[in-house]
Amino acid sequence: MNDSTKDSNVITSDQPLTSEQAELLSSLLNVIIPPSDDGVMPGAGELDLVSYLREQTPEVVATIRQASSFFEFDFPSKSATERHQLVVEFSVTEPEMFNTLLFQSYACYYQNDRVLTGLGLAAGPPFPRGNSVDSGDLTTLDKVVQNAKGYRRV
Amino acid sequence: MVDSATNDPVDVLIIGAGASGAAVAWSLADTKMRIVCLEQGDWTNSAEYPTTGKNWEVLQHGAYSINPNVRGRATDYPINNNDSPIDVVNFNGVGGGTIMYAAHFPRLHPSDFKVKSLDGVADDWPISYDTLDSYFTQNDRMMGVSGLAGDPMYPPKQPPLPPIPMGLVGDKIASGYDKLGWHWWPSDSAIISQQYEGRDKCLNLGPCMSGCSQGAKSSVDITYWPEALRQGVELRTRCRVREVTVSEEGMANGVIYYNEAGEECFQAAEVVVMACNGVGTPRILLNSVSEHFPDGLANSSGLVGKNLMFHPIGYVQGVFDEQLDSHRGPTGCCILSKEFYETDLDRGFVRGYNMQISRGSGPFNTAIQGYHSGRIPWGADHHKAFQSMFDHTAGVAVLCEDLPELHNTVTLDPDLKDSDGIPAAKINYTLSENSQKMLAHGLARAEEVMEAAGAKEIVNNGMIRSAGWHLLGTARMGEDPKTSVVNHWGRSHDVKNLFIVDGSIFVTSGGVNPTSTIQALALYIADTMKKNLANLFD
Ligand SMILES: Cc1cc2nc3c(=O)[nH]c(=O)nc-3n(C[C@H](O)[C@H](O)[C@H](O)COP(=O)(O)OP(=O)(O)OC[C@H]3O[C@@H](n4cnc5c(N)ncnc54)[C@H](O)[C@@H]3O)c2cc1C
Repeated sequence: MNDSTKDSNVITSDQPLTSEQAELLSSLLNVIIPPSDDGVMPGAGELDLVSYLREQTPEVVATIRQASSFFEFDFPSKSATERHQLVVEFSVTEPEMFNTLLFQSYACYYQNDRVLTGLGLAAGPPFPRGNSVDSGDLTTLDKVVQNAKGYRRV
Repeated sequence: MVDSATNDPVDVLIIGAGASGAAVAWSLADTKMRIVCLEQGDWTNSAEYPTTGKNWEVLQHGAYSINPNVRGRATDYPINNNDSPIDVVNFNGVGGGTIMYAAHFPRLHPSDFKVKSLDGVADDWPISYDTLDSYFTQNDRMMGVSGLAGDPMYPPKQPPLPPIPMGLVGDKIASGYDKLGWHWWPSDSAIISQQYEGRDKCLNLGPCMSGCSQGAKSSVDITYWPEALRQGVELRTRCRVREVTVSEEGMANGVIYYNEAGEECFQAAEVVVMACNGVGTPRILLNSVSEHFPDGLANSSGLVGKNLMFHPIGYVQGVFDEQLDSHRGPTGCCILSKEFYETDLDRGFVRGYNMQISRGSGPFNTAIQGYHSGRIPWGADHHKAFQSMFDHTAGVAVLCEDLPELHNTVTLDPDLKDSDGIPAAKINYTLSENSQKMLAHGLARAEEVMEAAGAKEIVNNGMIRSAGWHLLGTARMGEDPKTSVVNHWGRSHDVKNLFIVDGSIFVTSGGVNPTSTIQALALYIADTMKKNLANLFD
């Protein structure tokens, strides 16, 4: 079965959100991390959150679903100011759930290749690529040796 | 109770396969005695460490958390930290804490062994820096330590490998120290800066504290253990010891443990060596109650579980205009300063501290920490605030010497138990007035360094809660059985075939990370055992 034949309002193990929920969540995430003004950094809602959620535990998926259920389905059509205000209210009334939503949004965002390359970093995990680091300037250590009190003799 | 053929009596039974257990096993292996080590955890697989996956930072908040209560693996035991401002952190598995340690590898200083004589506080150790000198060297060689000779704050020593790169973070903070005329030096690090003994060099991945995928961090599962196993030591994982048993004569004669299936087993032994760290060791000793030892094993002094020392740690972060590439390179190892290490009573406290420069976090942790500290908001201003922090920070950790106090304790929790029903450890700890003054002094000096280095913003985070990684003093050494648990070579005063080799035997804590000294002590004790094999119990 290809994606177009799926009922978009049915939740399955490989489709953790209905299409309406996904649209709402995407809009919600774009409030939490909007696209950057210069267009380099995507908004969190532009990323493939559904794929990300497929890799998470059922508890995480349930919390995200629950968090988004606090918002009406017309959330995406509200003005930017209204959306921001609604998220602020949610963060105050449901701080724990908001923290989970924020944690997962950031987790999804900051491991995404598009985001990493937007930050000027290499895509993918650190290993086995590794990083290069300058050896550093040891020339002033002569001065340190001269100035040092030395260790306490016993 | 399972008492199978594999549980035939052994000559030496080591409990715990961490930093000290591994060193002792390796050292004793050449005696050709039958040596078995029981470890409650598993081997870890570096191919599964977080940095092999995209979600490497997220895992640090769950399965690879440094806090066993968060990690919650079946191999962990719970710890009740409710009556402590500092949480115990550890790793339970082959390698022990070295799987997750930052690998900052300084030695205690000569003065640390003589605090009573020099400063009139606590007690002198029954041994000195000189006693351990050759074992420090042996341990540096076995582990693979990188550093720079010539530090004027130490007696001469030569790390086997050149220092790991300081990077822009090191340069920046060193410039602050230089301006102030204060001591700094590249850190001794148990991380290999070049190929060494078949291991490849550090790749500067960053988060050493969730396991090193490259195998460049010197954790004992890849240093001591392969050698010890080759020489015939047997290491049994998923064996959680409940108690050490004693004979009618009051000698240790084995242990009762639970295997992976949760079955109760008995292992007989001629000699028992405890290497479960400053929390795990008193936990087992206090749980080993018998007619001979109603207050717990080796506890006639009443000092098992007392005098817990942590090293309170304060943290100051500097935010700089310049890009510092902060997330690249070993997080906890860069440079250090010993400017305020030795006692100067004009500062208002006795003893001193070490300042350890640390690098920054990856993108996810920068964002999430920034949110919690209120410095990186969600919403429209997120990117701007994030970019001013990410790769633009450096940290100074102020690591204070903690002095022994009887009321800082590890006891058995009356209610909380691990998955085998063994009582959990309960921590009671308060920060002394001396430590509070020291911490305040150190945090103020750290702010000064940041300012001198040109930080545009300085964030003083105060004392860090999740930093109980140094677990010391709960079964201290000494010559007098009334005021100590073990003698000057780790043998229990009360039970002559019971030895303790982990951080619990520290008399005082010094003001540096302890593992180099813990392992040197373990090698020294093993060597002394070997020299005294004929009359080990006299
Ligand atoms: C996040 C973190 C960062 C650290 N950074 C540094 C650093 O930079 N520098 C430094 O010097 N130190 C550091 N440390 C501390 C360092 O890891 C410890 O000092 C060192 O590992 C202690 O050695 P040990 O032999 O005393 O105990 P451990 O290495 O903790 O080993 C104890 C072992 O005993 C096992 N055990 C416990 N109870 C039982 C039982 N009942 N039955 C069977 N097995 C049992 C445990 O599973 C464990 O494997 C850090 C620790 C952590 C957690």
